Amino acid sequence: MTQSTKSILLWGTVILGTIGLVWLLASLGSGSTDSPQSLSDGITDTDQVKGTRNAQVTLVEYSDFQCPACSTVYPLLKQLSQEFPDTLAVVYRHYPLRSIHPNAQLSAQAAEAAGLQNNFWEMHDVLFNTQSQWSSLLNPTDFFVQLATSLGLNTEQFKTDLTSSAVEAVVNDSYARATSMNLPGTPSFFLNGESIQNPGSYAGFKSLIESALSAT
Amino acid sequence: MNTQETTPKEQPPIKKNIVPHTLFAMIFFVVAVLGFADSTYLAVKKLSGSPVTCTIVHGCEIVTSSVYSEIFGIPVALLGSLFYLTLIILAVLYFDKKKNATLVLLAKLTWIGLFASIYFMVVQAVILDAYCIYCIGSAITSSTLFVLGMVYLKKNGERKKKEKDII
Repeated sequence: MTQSTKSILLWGTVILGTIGLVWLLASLGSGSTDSPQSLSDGITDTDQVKGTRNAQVTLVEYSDFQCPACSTVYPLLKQLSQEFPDTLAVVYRHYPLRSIHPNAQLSAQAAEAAGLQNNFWEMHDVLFNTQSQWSSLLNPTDFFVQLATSLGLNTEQFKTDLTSSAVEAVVNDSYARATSMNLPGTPSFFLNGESIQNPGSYAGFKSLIESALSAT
Repeated sequence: MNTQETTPKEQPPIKKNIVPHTLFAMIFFVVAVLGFADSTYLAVKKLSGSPVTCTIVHGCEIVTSSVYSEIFGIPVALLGSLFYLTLIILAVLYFDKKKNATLVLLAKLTWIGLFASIYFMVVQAVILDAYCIYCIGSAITSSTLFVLGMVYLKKNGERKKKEKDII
């Protein structure tokens, strides 16, 4: 074998190997992990629902108020409920990633406590809007109480509900359901019960919902 | 086309074994491939942009979504990939042409990786207070390459000195 043939073989192998490696990593990096394919339950009584409960299309989100990716996706979901007010039900389920987000659990309880005063979604929005302000607090209780006051809630009632065992149980139940499904993280989405990859853009979400609408 | 070059190379006497250039080149190559795979995976994640998720295992989303993850709009992971790719090409160039100068250049370039790694580890520890396992992985490969690079340069320097002394 001549030196030039050797060179060609060597570089050819390296180039092909590199391309193969990049391709493999690209499919690994953008592919979905072994997340569950479908939800075992429909909308339950404890679920927080935006839109009509028996809407044609249901989008369930497992989310965490302290997760930056969830806060990125929240304005898109809000816009979707405005665009499909009668045909889409957006369901928020708690999956506070406690091990990496120390205030996730209490923020979820804050939203549920506000929910008892029929202000779940208002608290949901304001929690995401102020995420950077309370994420690093050692004890965010006062901050959440301030948010409740700014929303015009009964502050004393909110304080009691925030740490009540009933509210805690709602969040914990949702967390338990998420872990039992081996959800890899947040946000995780289920469209009409089927797992979907986060499209990451409004147009992506919209076309998924439109195709689900035309399928029903 | 290199036949003229290879003939004299066949006979270099005893001193050939002082520095195991090929062994160094192979280790450089393997570690650089690991670093390349790691950085490219992160770059792909970053460039595909879409499903950034918060996973239970680590705080990658904080690190990779922070302002420090880009320089002038270019993901730093991509720059990392290019860095490792350069090292891979230099190592392969050595396998091809067997010129020590390519390995010397490779070894000197490992300084870049070391400085970049120190900077990003400081950013993660001090500013973000969050660690991304892939970034730590890259810091390990960069530091390994640096140590190897310095060992190589030292050995190569000693060899050159010996050669000079002989002359």
